[in-house]
Amino acid sequence: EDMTLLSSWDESYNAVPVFAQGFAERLEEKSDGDLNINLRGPETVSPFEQLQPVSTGLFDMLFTHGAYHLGETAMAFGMDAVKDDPVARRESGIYELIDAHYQDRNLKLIGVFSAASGYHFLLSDPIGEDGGLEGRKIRASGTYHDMVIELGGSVVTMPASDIYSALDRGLVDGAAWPVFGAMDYKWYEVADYMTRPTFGVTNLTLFMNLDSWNSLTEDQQALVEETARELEIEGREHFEKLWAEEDQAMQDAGLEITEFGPDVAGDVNAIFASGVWKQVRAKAGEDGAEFHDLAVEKGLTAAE
Amino acid sequence: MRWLLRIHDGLTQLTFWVSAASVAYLTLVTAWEVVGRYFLRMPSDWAPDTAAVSFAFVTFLAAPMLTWKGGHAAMTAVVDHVPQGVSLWMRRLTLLLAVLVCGLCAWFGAQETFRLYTRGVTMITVTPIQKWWVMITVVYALASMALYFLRHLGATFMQSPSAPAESRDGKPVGEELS
Amino acid sequence: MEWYVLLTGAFFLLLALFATGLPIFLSFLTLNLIGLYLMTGNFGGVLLVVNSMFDTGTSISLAAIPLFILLGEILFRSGAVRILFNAVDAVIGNIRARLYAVTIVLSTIFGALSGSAMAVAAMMGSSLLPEMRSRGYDRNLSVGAILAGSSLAPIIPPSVMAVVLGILSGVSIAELLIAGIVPGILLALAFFIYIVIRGWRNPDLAPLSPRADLPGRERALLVLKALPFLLIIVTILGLILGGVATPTESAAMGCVVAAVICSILGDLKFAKLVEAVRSTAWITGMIMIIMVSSVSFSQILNMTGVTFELVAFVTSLALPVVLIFIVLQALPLILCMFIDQIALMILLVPLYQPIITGLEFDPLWFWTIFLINMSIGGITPPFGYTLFALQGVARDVPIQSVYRAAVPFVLIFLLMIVVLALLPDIILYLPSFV
Ligand code: NA
Ligand code: NA
Repeated sequence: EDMTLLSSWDESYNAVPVFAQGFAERLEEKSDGDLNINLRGPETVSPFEQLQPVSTGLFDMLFTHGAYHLGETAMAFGMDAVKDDPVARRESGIYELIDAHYQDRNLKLIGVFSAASGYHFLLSDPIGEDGGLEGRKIRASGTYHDMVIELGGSVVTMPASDIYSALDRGLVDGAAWPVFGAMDYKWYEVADYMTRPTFGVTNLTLFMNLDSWNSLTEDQQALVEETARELEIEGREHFEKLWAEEDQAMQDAGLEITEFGPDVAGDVNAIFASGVWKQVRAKAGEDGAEFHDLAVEKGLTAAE
Repeated sequence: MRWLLRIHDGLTQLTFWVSAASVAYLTLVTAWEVVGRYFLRMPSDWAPDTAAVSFAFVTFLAAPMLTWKGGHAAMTAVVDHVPQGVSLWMRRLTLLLAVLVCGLCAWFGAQETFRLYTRGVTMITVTPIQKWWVMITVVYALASMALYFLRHLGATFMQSPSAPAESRDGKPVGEELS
Repeated sequence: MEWYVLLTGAFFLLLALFATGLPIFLSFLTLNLIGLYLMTGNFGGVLLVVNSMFDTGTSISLAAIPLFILLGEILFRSGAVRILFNAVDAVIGNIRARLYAVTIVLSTIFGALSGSAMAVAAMMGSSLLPEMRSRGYDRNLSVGAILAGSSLAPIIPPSVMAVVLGILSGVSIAELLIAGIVPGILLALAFFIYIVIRGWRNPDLAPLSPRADLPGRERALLVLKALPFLLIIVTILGLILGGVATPTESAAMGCVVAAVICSILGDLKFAKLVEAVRSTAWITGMIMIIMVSSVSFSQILNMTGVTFELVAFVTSLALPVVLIFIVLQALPLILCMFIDQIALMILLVPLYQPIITGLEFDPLWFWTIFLINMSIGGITPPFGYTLFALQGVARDVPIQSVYRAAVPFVLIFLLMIVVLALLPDIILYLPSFV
């Protein structure tokens, strides 16, 4: 059985070798070469347009981030506000909710992979007396919009490819991004500080077209699920190491740590999470509300 | 029949004006964002978000006019140097192909637009902008272009064998538009 | 089917479609539909094409195109370009080929500022070209000078393409940007010399100006009149260098400033401004409809995997180092004849990286040459966005003439690449200070 997996990133993003290629290799091995996955990257379909082609069956699987299809629904994005514990996540019943939500779009949820790390701000100047981002112009996508405002900054919208030169020439005072990025995109050349503590959890989501899923035998389906479960745990462990290395590499490259003020530091996680939940409720309707309530009930999120 | 064509042309002229207005909007809103961000320290998110939409409007609302007036870039070296009978048939074939290709894309685009509309899919912007508002201009462009190619095709059977005067005569842009 | 059959098939089918006189954007759309049908057995994949059109059409990083076109339109229609040329004529009117030189210099400056070769070509084509032709300059040489000058846009910083290349290749972006400065200036010089030689050998290509014989006071007045025009350039330069605005935003500010200055000092009535805006819509529509159709062509080509196979084949060849270097640089040049440059970089760079490390090429040197190579891609016939952009504004110039005009400058580019390959210090000297 040959299947195609559409990925939102090319191999230079380290989640692709760990989770996407890792998934393909594991599955091929487990099935003794029966289930064979071919990777296709963003050079074939641009990252923000990938959900629909997979749901119509032009590709069999999708490896993406929930924020990349925020225009369609924010359900998968909600996982970024859920505690980073693969086992507790699986047991909570959250997966079933998300899965049902996407089945309505002809997609099957296969797995949610934590990168064992979250998000931060890269800044030109260290955090000041306000303890937050007072008066700063921060390049940020919709993901961080509420958070930047809450911390007293203002949001500048521009394509990711402009971040380097915008930081370089002082067009913006900072940029929000997952903690992995400053090295790959070379922003350490043009920013001097990174904020701590980090906030949220970066999650990568794997979907399968529902028809492709249904065409698998029960044994094959079991293999796919088993592979995803294993990778959720082992891939996450691998990422803990990668994250420690990355954190060190960024500091070696000259990015200094700047801490949020004492009044702010304890709240950044909750501030971020409540921004996420606001979008989940707004864009995933009743399912989204149910998801948030369940996460609160199970004690798996920082924001009510 | 004639009044239908006139409506088509009128709509093309109207949307071309909207396209031109979008150029003005794109320019002013982009310039304003600089003033707002740098001098007033008040960056907005609606400015870049709506700029992207207006940029798409410029392209897709102007495209039918280009097809109507024969303004698309094309390599005409071969067509210009073959006998007239051959070039007429080459032209008919390419026009037929153009109708089919644009029509097919418009058809699938219309289905997607309908899905975007019923699902309420938004663009990935801070400002909530419905995706179908933009997608419908893509479909409009494709459908209207298909119709113009069909009309050009029809014209090759009604007029003298030479190509219709309105296309590929190399008039400068300014004259084309007046 | 074998990959090389598919790839050559696609290439020749595209050429054949071009040759039938089918509009260029439709040639791409047609191939897209054929490709999708062959891959999936139905037309369901047309969804990808339509979505890609939406995605490219709303891509704000391309908005530099209409903004620089509008700037060019305003400058031309207000008579600002005429005033500038009069000033040049007044100063050096007895030197042949001077306006070609002005073209090269202006294209280089705006290219340096904007980073978008298409935008600059369209701007120069709508402002300088008509004025040069009305003064009796040779059409093809004028077109060639504009194409060449605007192709320096991605090479001289700021440059989005250099940033993307830096990210993909792992070379310092700052160094890559600085590395482009000297080669960019050398290229501009080479174009200049070529044009002077052409003008010297064939005086008909560039007429002398009667203004050079005017009394000194009148000549000084002509120069004085051109000063406000320089203010527009200074505004744009200042905004970019001062960290106030991105190049795209500076173009928008430049339009506003130009409209104000030209309506006060020049000859810009409201009706002309409306004309400029409508003309911008027309040209943008023409260029962008090709863009939105051809991006999905690259995507579908990538989806079939043939481009990957080609690269894998080339990189597996066992050849002497020099030949490998030539092959590695020739491949993007050839692929650029029918693929979008950014998509091509995403495809090639990761595959090249291990080879470059293995052969111990200096990465900065290699990727700078690669970047120059990609810039030529925009003006190598038959497929080049810069070519299409220029043809969009100069509609009465047939595309085959634009092709012909580009050829000598492509050759100069290639010659310069040979020089840079043999003398790496030209590239590596400036970045060594970073
Ligand atoms: Na540049
Ligand atoms: Na080319």
